[in-house]
Amino acid sequence: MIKRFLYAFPTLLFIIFIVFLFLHLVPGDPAQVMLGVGASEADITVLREKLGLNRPLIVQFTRYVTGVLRGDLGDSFAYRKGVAQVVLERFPATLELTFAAMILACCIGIPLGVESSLRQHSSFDFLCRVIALVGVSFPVFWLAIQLMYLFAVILHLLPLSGRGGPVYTWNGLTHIILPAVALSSIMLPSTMRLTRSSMLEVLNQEYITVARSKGLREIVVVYKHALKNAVIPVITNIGLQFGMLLGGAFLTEHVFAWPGIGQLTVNAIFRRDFPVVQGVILVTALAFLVLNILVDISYAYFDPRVRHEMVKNA
Amino acid sequence: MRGQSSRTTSMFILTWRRFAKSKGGLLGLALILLLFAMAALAPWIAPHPPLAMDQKAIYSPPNLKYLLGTDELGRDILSRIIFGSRVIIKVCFSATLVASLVGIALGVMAAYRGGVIDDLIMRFADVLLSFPAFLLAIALVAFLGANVLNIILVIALTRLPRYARLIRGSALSVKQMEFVEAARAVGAGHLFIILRHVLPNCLGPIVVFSTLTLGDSILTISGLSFLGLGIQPPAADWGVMLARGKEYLLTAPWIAFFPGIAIFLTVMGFNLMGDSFRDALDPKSL
Amino acid sequence: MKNLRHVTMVISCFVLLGLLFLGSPDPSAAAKVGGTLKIAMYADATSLDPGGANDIPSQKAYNLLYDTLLAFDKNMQLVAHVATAWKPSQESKVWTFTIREGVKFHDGSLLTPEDVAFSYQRILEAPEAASQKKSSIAMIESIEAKGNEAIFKLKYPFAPFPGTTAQIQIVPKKLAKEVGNKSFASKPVGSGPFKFVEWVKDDHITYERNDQYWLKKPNLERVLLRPIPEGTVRAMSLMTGEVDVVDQVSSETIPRLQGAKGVELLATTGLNYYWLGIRQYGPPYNNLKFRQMVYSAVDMDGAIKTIFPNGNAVRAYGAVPPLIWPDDNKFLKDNGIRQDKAKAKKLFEELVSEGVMKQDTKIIVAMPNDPERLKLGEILVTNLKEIGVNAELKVMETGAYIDQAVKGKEPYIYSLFSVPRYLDPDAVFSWLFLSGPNGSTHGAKILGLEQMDPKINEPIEKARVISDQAERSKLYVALQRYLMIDRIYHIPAFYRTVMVGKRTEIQDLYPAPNDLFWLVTSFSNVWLDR
Repeated sequence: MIKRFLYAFPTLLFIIFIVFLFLHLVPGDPAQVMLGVGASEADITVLREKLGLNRPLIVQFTRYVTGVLRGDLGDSFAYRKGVAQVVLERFPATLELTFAAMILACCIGIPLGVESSLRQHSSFDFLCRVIALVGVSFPVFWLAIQLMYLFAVILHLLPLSGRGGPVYTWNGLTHIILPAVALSSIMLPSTMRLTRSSMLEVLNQEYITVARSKGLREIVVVYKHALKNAVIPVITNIGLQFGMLLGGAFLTEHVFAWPGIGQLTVNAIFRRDFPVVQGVILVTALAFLVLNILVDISYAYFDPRVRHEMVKNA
Repeated sequence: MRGQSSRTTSMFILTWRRFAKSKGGLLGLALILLLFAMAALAPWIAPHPPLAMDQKAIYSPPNLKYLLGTDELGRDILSRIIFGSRVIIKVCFSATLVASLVGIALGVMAAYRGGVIDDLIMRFADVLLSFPAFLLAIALVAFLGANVLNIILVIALTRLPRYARLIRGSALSVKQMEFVEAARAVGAGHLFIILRHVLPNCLGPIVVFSTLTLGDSILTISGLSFLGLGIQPPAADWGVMLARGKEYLLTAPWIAFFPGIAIFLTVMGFNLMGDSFRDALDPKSL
Repeated sequence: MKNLRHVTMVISCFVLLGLLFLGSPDPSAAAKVGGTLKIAMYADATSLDPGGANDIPSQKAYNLLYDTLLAFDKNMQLVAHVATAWKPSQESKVWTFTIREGVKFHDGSLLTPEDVAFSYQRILEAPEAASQKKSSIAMIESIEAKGNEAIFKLKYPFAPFPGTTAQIQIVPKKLAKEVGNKSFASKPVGSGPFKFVEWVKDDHITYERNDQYWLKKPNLERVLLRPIPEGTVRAMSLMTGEVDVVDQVSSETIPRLQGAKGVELLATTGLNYYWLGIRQYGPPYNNLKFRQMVYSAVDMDGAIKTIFPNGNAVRAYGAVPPLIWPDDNKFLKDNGIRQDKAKAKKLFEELVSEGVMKQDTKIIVAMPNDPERLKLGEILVTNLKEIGVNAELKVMETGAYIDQAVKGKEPYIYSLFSVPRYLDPDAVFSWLFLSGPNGSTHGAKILGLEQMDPKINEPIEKARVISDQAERSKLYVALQRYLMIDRIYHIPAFYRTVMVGKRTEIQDLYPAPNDLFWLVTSFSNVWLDR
């Protein structure tokens, strides 16, 4: 356990280094890109100097790392502002969208998973699987545009794009529906499938039989007793997927003009805005790492066998 | 060691029987076989050359001459879809192959050498897993150039850590088993043990993960193409067709619709197969 | 008698009242004041500080906040704006601008020649300032504020100088110096028709009316700028009324928008020039016959019809965009090379037999990743393949493409577009072709014209210093004919029409050839009819 924690730091450093090295060895001079095609050599040189691009890589890297430890992720080339600020400005939007997608996936996935587990091998089961797989088999941007066309252009029910405000406002709510639906399609199948298999396992346990023999109503047995235990791996899986979604949901954000991190990163890559790309990768890698550790810990907490194993190895 | 091989064979047969019982799995298999057939027979079944531009027929809706319509340069969509299957197979299977081979090699090395090497490899896998896959793909392709090789490498890179983990876990558990000690005593080499015992043990998860990788890589490529980083035109590739077609969704929706269906059916096929394999290998689901 | 006087009075009253009504303006034609205009852009701005960014979305965004010395009218002719008069002296080496009185910044302070001098100085000094702006005013030696005049001393005589002032925004000296650049950029203050309210990145920029605007009171109460990257989504937003105006209508969505209820498309000639260039960095590209072959092989008219089926591009025969003089298109068209597959094939055979290239020499056509030029590239490759040339298309992401074009030394065929920085043929030719002792401009570098060709340099440099337009015109016409017909460094492709989509309730909106938003100008004041 402690080993895991200790390993996190060199891993993180390694990540930063790879990202840093990579971004700097790549074609495309950021000063040139920032100043445009009409820029003179002299200006580009001055800007490179100002951005510290002419110093040896080691020096640049050390500066960067010490900055990160202080919470300074450098300045964005394009926006001339702190990367941390640029990223944080867009964080709430992405967070909102990701949470909304997650909640949707759960609200649809978990009940469907439960019902499928009760009707194993039936047509309903098959149908559910197909529906879930449908969502994940379409490229998400294609699905997004179809949804938009249907609900906004033809039915005039929902707004087309953009974020109408914080999600607790009416405007914000109507704007988040379509992108959340599109994004949730990615998480739906695994959530559903995992609920199903987890429920199957739990339903075979003894305490369920006991509960049934006590005469409790089926619904209570299923939803109160079984689900409570079955949902654990589902939650941990969602936790992992959440990290993935946090990575940007680029395409969804791009299509819906959602002002989140995904769009920021894509634009930054095309603009050769190294600090922003580095910052986003760093933040998401960090989030992943933390999430992974948390997931491992939660496994230990819930499953005594794993806990025992971990203690033995620590 | 004949007993082992027949055990492996019977395991295959058993799994296959279970797989064949699942309607979804068979459907998936059928779709994939269709894909292969398209790719193999492309030059003979495509009604037009995939690159031929008919200037007089740009954006034509489906008609008798061009069964699925034409795109913005007057090229036949049906033919491009048929030829596109070749690109899909080439890129996706290569990527999956590379990912699995490298992942397996790394996992075995980690399990057998143990110690520092094990830690190093697992950290490396952790690092790779820490990057959001798509972001990594975009960054690598945007910076290194969007050609087929880079795309294959990028997809392989994002998937191989899990292969490595899978094999390592399986190899570790096999290592400890008694018959391995016996085999070693008789003088069996490591490679032999790996092939005979380790791989068959985790074949199941490998197969499942591979089919999911195949499906996922198609989506990754189309996502990359959407951003202009995928296979480059004028090659006939479903991702490119979809990406170009999104501009025409309001005026000529068939340009994006049919490649979208093609992608959908193929990814579905892989997913259904993977799903059914998973069920077939898991005795508890019966 | 009393009755007659009474009647006369009543009648005259009625007549007077009638005259009053006849004379007053028709109320139905009056512009309505108020309302919010929602505009969709294809990308978000990066900075609202004119010294901070020069990308087009930023320009469009900050153009609403600031004023310039001179501005354009409907036909892109220079008119007085913050400067009421301007005159050259010392043979166009010194330019004196008279600054209007009573122009106020959004914070209430008066605009003085000091602010003008400061704004220009700021661009010249800071390297972060998008260097493109800087190079367009690089000829300025010094600026002096004297009384109500701003006096520009140039390094050399430069007749087109007034045109360059239409691009430099005036910022308040005192405020900018006080708060520093970073702060200024987050709360920009100018003298323009709209004031800055807020900017939520990638989501929207909000402006509100500047009631003290010196030119006229803007009809619109608020303006909202929304970045929507997907062309299809922008079009759909216009159709549902979620936005009122869409700039950069993508050609693919045009047919749909033309038929949509409540939507109108406005078109105007663009100030851009797209071309196929042949880099001179090696054989066979630097062989004239090769270039003639490529020009004869490419079906440019057909390509334009395919790429712009809705007619939003005009075939170009020269480098000078419409709206800029001189217009020599007829001569260039009649005497330029036409598409002739047989001739192209013959030229190819000659090149092979003369040993300039082999039968299977790979000819690279490199294109950036934008749909129109990709199509152009595909068509060119196919055309070349048809005459037997082993042509290949290479696609690069746009940033890398430009980088490669400027820095690389490999020969290939490429495509770029340019928008002249000021409305003068000098901007066109010097950027594209001038190579000199001070280093070549990017256009020349990209072409590989590193060796100075006096036939190109001399006319450009000569035309800069003389003021007689007819004289200058002669020089440019001769130069263009030399470049396009004799040397064929460029194969002119097209001039893209500027298309703006708007809801029918939006009144008085003119599409701007320079792609900016003309909301409040000397000739217009946009209002909403709802």
